[in-house]
Amino acid sequence: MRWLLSSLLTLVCFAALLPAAPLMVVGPPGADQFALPGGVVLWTVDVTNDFGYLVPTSFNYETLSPVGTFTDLFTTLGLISIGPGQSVPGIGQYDIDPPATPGFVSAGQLVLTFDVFSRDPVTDLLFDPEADYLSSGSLSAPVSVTILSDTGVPEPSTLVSLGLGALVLMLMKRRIA
Amino acid sequence: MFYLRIGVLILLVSASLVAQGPYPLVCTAMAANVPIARAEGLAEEMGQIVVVCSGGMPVPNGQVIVTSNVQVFLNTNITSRVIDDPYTEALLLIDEPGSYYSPGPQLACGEAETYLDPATGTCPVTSANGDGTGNYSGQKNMLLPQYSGAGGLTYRRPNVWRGRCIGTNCATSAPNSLAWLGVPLDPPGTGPTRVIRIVNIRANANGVPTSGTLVPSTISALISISGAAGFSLVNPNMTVAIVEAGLTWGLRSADNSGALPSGGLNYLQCVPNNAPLAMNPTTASAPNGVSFVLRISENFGTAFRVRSTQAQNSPGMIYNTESMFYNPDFSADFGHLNLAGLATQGTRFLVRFSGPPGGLQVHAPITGTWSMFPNTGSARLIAAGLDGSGSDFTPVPPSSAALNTAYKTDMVYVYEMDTADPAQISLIDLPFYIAHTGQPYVTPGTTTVSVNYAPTSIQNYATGGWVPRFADLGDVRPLATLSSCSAQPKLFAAITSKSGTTSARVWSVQLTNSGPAPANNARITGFGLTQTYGAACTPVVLTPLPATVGTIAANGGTGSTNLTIDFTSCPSLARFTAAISYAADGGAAGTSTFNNLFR
Repeated sequence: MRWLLSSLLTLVCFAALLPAAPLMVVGPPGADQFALPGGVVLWTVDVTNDFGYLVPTSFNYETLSPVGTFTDLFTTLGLISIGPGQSVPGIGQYDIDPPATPGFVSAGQLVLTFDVFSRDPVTDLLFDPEADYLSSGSLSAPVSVTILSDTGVPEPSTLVSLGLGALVLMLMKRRIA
Repeated sequence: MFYLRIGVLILLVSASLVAQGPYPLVCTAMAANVPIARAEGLAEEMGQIVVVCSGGMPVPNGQVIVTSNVQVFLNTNITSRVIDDPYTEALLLIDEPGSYYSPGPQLACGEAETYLDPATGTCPVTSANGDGTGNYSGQKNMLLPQYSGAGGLTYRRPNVWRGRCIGTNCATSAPNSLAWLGVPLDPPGTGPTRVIRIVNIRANANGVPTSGTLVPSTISALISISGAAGFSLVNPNMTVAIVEAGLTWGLRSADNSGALPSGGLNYLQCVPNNAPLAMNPTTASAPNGVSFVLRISENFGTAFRVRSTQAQNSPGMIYNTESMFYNPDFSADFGHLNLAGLATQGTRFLVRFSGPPGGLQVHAPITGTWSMFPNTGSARLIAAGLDGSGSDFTPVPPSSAALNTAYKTDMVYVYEMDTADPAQISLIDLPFYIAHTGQPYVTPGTTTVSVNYAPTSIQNYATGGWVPRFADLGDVRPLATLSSCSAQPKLFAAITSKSGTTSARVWSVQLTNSGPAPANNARITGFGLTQTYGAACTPVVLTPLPATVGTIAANGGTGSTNLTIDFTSCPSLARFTAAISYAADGGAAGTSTFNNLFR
């Protein structure tokens, strides 16, 4: 029994020492978005790193049903290093083709590739890209965009009306309470 | 006494000869010219018919000339333009008015200052000099006391008569005949011959059976002249046109070096072609260039013609334009005579592309260029109806000024000749761009093309419609097929590890196939490094390309290969952007870009 408890304690301690995998989470306004033909979709991600210094090297939208052109606004802006325990936001822009068909759904995944180093390539003067290189890898997250028709988008005046209506309802509710 | 008797005998013989009268009135009909009519045409120009008369007894001075009816029959429908139903644009001219030999004005019966008898609808003409001369001068020197309401007035002498359908309107008349009723024909006597010229007869060449031999089909005319004056008519039957196909067309390769395969071009739904043009017709970018060349050839020198709105009213002249005998000085107020002989448009070509909605786009050139022969003419993209009709020559402005192309969603393009040389056998080459975005919403299917003379019509009888006009021959050919990529592989790349020394750094490149079909013969086709940081250096890629990856399973399978790079010349902290290009059989291809790469 003692032997078993000792073994479990050893495993827990060992697991705590193991490097955790980096994580990518899609941020607001969400993974599944809507856009008009010719419109623009922005996807944001938060990349969290727990081991070494992660350098993002590419950010793309991979899909079997493309409906526009993706622009990497994450890794193209300069050298980024994400240290252990740090989280960095990234962004990608998807320009919808003007002739895209309303109702069409483009589904795929955002793919981030990266290199991991044992020293910080941005701040550590001793950084050596060969000696400090640890690994490369990729992260992915499923996303989609649905093409809307012109008539499916509320006019600004409609939004104002809806807002006013909601405000009135809240006031009425408060008054009733 | 003997000589007296001889003299009397000679006088008697001479008198008996005189008593026999003048020479009989004899008229000979002939075609003044025999043009080639386009077999596709429903309203093709026929040769002018000339009737030359001599002899007979001229009407005495001041008397009204007896009238005759002239009627022409063809072995196909006559389709001269109806300008004042039942009157058509076909005209009968007497004594070549406006020519070198008879320079007076051309004046049609019924125009101002002629006397149009309301009872008969004809113009009586009196003998001017009693010797057959001066009757059709167009001058204002004719008294007509014989007619009610005309006494004491002086009228002009008409020399042009309008041809009409036989019935009360052309729609219900015999379709192959026109008549000129009540034409005053004064026998010329011993003076100059009388010349009758019939112009502006159009006919349905498409209605003539095509020849099964090397001898082409012909259109024949039969002319009848009947009336009070008796005479002989020689050669009433004549050929007025030879019928030949006028247009040949074909699809050629983008570099115009040869014909396209009979099945046309092939595109994949997931591989874009001139995508910027597909998304924006005004762009200057067509990365895949011209897709094919449409060549339209004429089969004889006058198969392609300009319209011409200039006067073409010199009797006997051949102008080789779509307009025929045309005098813009004729009255616009009387029966729209100023429209007689005027074509509604030049030679047009209707180029029609048909495909599934949302399929391939075909962007058309604004102008056609001539090749192989001297630059003797051109065709211009114009605004017209879907059948190629429309009387205005309105050029279509380019959508893309840089590419000199236009795009219409109906993909029906109409070209009209703006210059043409009848002395040349002409070819016109039209370079077209096929565009699609490479996206899955581009509808797969086959796009076809047809080329036809325009405007197309089914009106093979005399109407007030377009002249010329043409039958739609229905010659539709496959142009391009867009195939679905639903069973295609889809690749993207990643760098998964780095190892080795500076002089032989090994990057492992992994390809992932997210498509539903295996990626066969997957390979790295290109690898480029662009330095973004550090002292300038030149890394050398040691691995020969393409580098084979092999077959990658569908739905997420991966395959890898190594690329070895010599970074010896580069500083330690040099950074690069890498572009890795890849391909596999079946159309999967692309490039992945990586930033902030250390060696």
